[in-house]
Amino acid sequence: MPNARQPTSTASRSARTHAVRLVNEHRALLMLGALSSYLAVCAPNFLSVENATTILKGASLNAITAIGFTIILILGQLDLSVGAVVMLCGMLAVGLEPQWGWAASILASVAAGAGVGLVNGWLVVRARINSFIVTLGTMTVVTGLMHLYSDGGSKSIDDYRFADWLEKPVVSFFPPLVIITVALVMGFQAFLSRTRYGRGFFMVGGNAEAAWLAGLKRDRYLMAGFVLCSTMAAVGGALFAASLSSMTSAAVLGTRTLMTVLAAVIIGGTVMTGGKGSVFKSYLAVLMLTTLFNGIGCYGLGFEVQIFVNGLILALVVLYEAFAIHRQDVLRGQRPDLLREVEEGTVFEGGQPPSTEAGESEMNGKDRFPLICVTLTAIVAIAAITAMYFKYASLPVQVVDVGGTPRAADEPDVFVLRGTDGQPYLFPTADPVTIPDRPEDPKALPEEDKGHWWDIEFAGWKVQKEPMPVSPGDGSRGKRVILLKAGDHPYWTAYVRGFNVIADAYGMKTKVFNGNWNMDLQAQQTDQAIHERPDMIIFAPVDATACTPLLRRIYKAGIPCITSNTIPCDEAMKYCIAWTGPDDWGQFRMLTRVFADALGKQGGYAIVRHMPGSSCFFSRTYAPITELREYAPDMKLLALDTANLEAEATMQLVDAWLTKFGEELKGLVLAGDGFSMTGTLEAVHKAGRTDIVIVAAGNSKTGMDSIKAGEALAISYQSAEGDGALAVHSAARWFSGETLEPVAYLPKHIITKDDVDQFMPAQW
Amino acid sequence: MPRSAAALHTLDIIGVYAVAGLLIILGMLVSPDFLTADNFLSILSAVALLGIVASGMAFITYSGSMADLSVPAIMAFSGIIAVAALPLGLPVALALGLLAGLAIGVMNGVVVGVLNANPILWTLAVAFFMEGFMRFTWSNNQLYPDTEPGTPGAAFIELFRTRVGALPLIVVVMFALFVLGHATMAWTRFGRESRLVGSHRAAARTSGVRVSRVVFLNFLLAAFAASIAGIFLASMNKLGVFYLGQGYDFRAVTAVVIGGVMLSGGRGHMAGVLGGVLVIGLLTNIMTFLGITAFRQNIVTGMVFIAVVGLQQYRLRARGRDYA
Repeated sequence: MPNARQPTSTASRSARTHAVRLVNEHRALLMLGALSSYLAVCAPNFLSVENATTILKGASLNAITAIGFTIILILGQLDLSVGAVVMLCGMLAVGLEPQWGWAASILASVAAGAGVGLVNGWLVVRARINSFIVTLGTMTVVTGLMHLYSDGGSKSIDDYRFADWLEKPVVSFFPPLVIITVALVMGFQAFLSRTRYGRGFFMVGGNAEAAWLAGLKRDRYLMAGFVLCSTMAAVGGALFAASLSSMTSAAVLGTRTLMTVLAAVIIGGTVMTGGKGSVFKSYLAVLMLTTLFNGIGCYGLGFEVQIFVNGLILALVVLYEAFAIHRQDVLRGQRPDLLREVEEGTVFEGGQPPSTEAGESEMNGKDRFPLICVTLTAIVAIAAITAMYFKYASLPVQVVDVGGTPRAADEPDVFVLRGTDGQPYLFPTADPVTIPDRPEDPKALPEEDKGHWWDIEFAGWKVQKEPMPVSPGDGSRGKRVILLKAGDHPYWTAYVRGFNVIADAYGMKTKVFNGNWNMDLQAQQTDQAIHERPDMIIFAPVDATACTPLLRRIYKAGIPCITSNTIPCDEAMKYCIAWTGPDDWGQFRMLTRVFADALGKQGGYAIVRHMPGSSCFFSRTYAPITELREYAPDMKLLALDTANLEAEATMQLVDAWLTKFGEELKGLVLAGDGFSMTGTLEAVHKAGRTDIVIVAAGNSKTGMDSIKAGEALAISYQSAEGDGALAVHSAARWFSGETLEPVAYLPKHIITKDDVDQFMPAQW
Repeated sequence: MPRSAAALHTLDIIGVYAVAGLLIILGMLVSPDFLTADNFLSILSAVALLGIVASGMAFITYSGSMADLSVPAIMAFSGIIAVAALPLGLPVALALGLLAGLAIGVMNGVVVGVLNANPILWTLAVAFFMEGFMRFTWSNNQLYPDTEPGTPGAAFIELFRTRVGALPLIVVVMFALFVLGHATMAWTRFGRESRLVGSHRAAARTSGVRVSRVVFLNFLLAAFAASIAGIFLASMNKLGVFYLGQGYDFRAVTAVVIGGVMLSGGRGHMAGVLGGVLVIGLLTNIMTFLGITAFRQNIVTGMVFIAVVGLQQYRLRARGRDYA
């Protein structure tokens, strides 16, 4: 053990080796310190009390989850189910609150988390299954339970008192959420390092034999570890949901939590083989990663940079640790006396922290084979990348026709600008919309009834808005606009393209934050965007319901906000000036009518649904169902299910449907024309069915190609560039003092074989 | 191998296929359309990609490195490179795609094999920074091949759709990889060495096995299989993008473990892994026939997974071969 023997030599080398060891011991703290001092000096808008609060608050979910995860790693086990538990328990806390109140619902959800931990523990201890396998299984099961409970949607409550209390700083800049987190971290740190039971965890994880000799009951410790781990994940999830008064069911929140926590705990110095680790250092590492993400956001760089840097840091830590162990092993096995010398600092010139090159060169003499392979492959890889890059660069680049240089006039003629597909970004007049009356109690109606979905379909039209900020009325020139986009997708790349073209035309300055489909990340970015005090925030929600508290925060900060793309729920619409985006329900109703006409309003059909947790999961399923119920009541819905927008899974699903229903199945409605379309077409081709009518939400290149080839009947036209353009155009109108409609839809159109060429080339 | 051990060996293989057999009987009860050549062909082609990945992942688990979490990154990277290199011609594109994936495998192999880094953590780090790299280089975009007839792009997207006789090419490739994998694992010196490294690394080292090289080659094999799957996946989707392949890491581990390869290493065989892949395919197919939705399918799959592995564990323990 590194610290077991004190250096006997007084040589300066020994001191330096000792210093290296100290640096490694406190690497999380040092990284955090170095990173935040660098960002404080160099990054714009980083150094402020509000931003410090943002980081501390943003770290709380991962930090609390990391407590339990550290304990499980100290025991030498692994728990992959923490992400799923976070989501299930967050969902339970919000779902049970209306009947039980916060205290009871949080307790119940934490109890549910402990239950998952008990199952994990029982399977590991009693059934003696490897914890990696057990928790991989329970991860799937718990995610399924969460989706079953939430029905693939979000849950929220309109009472923000508890959320406000959690978020509002009480002691200097520490809100209760942060105080609870720190208290938990400190409590567990003290428990693990100061009490006999706590130290038992280290012994059981580090040396099972010694623990047995010492009379420690390994099984009990393992059981306790699993229960604690799931409980902490549950506490983290419940507090996260409470601080937002809502919870999303998009599974990416869980997977990213798991991955970030795993990375952070390792960076903090906990080892996977067990017996070593510290809850406090894990907390520091979580803070370090949150600071990193925050800082990269300050520079306006995207998620790709964040995940890249995160990976590099983790890689360096893993390499360093491997090298340290490797060095010890080599020496211990061959020359015990050398090991002692290393520890005393008499070998390894200068006691420098060993780098990877040193590690590889040391192996040189022993086994050249892998090194030769590395060199060869590196050469090949470099050659490949260069060749590919040349080819890629030489491909014809699609020129964005922006009608000459952006004119940056106060009132530019934006309607003449055309996107990459040759269509105008914006249309001067919008399609007329008729809003039916709201039913008495929409939720009381069956799901097959249009009225059931009124609140979602027509959100924002009739809502009584809070008093809105007043437009400065001085035009949009030089205004700073922040776009909080939902995530990375080719659609969103095109969206930002359209957004920037129009913003340039109006002479606005823009900055983009990327939420990566993760509620936790978007919540942090919202705070960050508020602190930058822009003139306008354009908000594309990750989740239609769970975005309400975020919009409320923006509203309370007095920043005007326009929501875009995903239509938020009615409650959220109170806090924004307007919403712009595709009329998902409306265009699907149009698409469905084309679908029904092609089938002669007869026959059975099935629906391939969108991803659970997205608003399209409902709109693109129930718009067709409710529309066909009235427009073609003879058509029969045979099946509906999600394949998570994966081509292989869709193929499997549609394959099974075609076998099961045979000739009865006449048509398919797809929630996406990309991977869902590819998978569906594969299945249909394989079954040799040419009579099946396919319609899908569009319009990607894949979808348009299949329309052109006559494989699919119709897709909806939804211009990604137009979506971005409309949002920023509305902002410009507001800046010049115009009153906005509460809802502005993109133009709706159904693309069929007749007019598909007008929309080529595809935007994405 | 002593006769009794050989008998147990056979029994282990039968274990997974017994589950598969049960599922087939269940399927026959569920629907008359279940037991048809067409349906079995569709099950096979649905799990072929998973099978290809699992045939490589099995070597990682077998040799005691648990799992390669960079598999999704390898799949996406080889797919993107293959699509990007299509203007150079189909053979070059395929070769470059394969090499791109192998390059990641080499990196993993060196770091885990030679430097003894923790395989899970290292491959997770690789998955992170490769995702960042691919997003950055291709600006989060999908890369489409030129699919005009007669171009390499058209031939590329036909790759997934080619049939060898009655079987899709991808199913043939999967079986070929399993046969090759079985031969490698069971009949070569490398296979035996992998087994020893997986069961007891220190013992392997003292008995003169070059552990670093064995681990290195295992990661190379996994990357090779994942690259092939990645190229097929890109061919199927007619595009390359950074998120193709997501989820294949855990799915492949699930298949490998259901197939009776112990996560602690050194125990299992390729025939079992193939059985594991089939069980997953059958289970999904039957549940879709029954009209069980994806949410409930998740729950059932997770439970079946734990139950099957628990049973294997129980049988081992009953025979006094607890791995603990």
